[in-house]
Amino acid sequence: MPSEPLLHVENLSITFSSHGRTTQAVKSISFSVGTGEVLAVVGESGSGKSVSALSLTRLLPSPPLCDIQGSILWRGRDLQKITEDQLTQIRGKEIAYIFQDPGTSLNPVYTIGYQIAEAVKIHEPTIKDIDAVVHQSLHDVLIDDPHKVAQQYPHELSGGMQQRAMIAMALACNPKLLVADEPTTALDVTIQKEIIDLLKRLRQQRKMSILLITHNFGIVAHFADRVQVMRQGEIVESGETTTVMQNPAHPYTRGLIACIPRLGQRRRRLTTLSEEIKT
Amino acid sequence: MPYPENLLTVKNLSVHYPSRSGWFWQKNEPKRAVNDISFAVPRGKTVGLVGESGSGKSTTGKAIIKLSPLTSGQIFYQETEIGKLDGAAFQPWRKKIQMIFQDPYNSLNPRSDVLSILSEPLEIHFPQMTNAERTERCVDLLKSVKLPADYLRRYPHEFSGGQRQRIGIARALAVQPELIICDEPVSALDVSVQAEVVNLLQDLQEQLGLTYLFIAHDLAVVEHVSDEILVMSQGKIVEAGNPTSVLTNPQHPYTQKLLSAVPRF
Repeated sequence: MPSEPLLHVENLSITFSSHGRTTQAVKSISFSVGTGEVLAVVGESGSGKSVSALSLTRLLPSPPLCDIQGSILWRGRDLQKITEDQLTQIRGKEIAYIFQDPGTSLNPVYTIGYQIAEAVKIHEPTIKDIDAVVHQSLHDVLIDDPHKVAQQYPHELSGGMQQRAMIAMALACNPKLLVADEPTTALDVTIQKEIIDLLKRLRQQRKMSILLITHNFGIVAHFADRVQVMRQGEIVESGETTTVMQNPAHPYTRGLIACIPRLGQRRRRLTTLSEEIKT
Repeated sequence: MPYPENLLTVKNLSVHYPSRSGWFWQKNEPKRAVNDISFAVPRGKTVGLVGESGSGKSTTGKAIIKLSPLTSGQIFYQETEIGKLDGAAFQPWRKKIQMIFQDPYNSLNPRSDVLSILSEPLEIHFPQMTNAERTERCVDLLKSVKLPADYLRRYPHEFSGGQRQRIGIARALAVQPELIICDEPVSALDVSVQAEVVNLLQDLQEQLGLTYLFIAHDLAVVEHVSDEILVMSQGKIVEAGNPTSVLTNPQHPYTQKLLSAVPRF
């Protein structure tokens, strides 16, 4: 563990209210991400993993719809207390996001190059040769013909190429933390492997930290330094990836891992989670 | 000739889509979604069909129940050629072959309650049934997919993904089919729910003697459920056989590539 964490989240609670009903999506969780570290957050849908990542840079609806409590310390500054203008300097520049479905996250009416350039113009206004930055960032994600892809629209690219373009956009401003929310869930396994290998390489080159949200334990085992398991808004277990994967301490983690059918280990029936473990 | 023990026999099936683009919408080379494939599904067994997106696996499933147009080839249900039948002539076979779809959010009509979702196939295929008999049958169907009977009056948005997929399974079972084409039935579900639905499908197969064509991209799930597996790539079947031997000792380079990409732990 590095001495000074890049991101330190303390007692984060997120509550949504609508039609007079309140739902607590995240219940007082604390975690930190060190410099150059990959932290994986795993859990089922509705466990609060995505909303906690979105809350870091105010990407959730504003109060009274959504109430966020606790502190989010980014390099020593509390992101909860800074102004919107100050946050704009961090969101997209220091903390960048990539999402699950590149097909819907990219804007269909602008070219890939335009969308990458937009991020660069906002965060690096001093750069003159924006095209060079755009082409370099596409080149960095192993796109063979950056000039051509920069002029294409999202619908002209395959899912894997779209996800690369989204990574290029996120990395164009050299973020210190990349939040990857289910980056490969919508992709085929062979493309998934290429994207994960690419993220591994970029992380090494740039000493970038990654907060990886996933439900795929296979990816966690090959990529993350540490992992935390979420269930219904709480962190039930966290630790070094190898420890958690090989010796899961919490029954929920054990149950979740046991549910997954594995290649070459044919069983008559799959294990399921009992109701008391789920809640 | 098809063998009688095979419920379904597909011979030299091709599905080509016309493709047009460019100036004046010119005709291009057709898109060969499925290109000359042959396979058989034995009664009471599960045949797994794996491949990546665009490999033609879903098109194959859809072509069997005529949701995709057949370009050439033959489809036999036992000894009857059903590939050429259309409209009313195909109706009796549509009752024997049902389908479960991938996305339980889009495959159930949001404006129908569970009772009307489940009774619609009954009205078509069992017109002589009275309303009371239909309701009774729907309750039984919910029981068989382990959902409570009072769900009949609820609407799809009130259910979780796993519950919706169970309703999709109940709808497929309504007309007492023999063959069910499962098109990525568990891909959209969480792992714990996936395990429950896979177990349910296997229980139903044992109780009702169902035959499955199980289309999926998750190799481990397909290995778990299948008696035989077919690997598709670019519209062709590149490898077929016993799941354990195909997946432990793949012969075709595409199967090898697919297997090496699966993250293991």
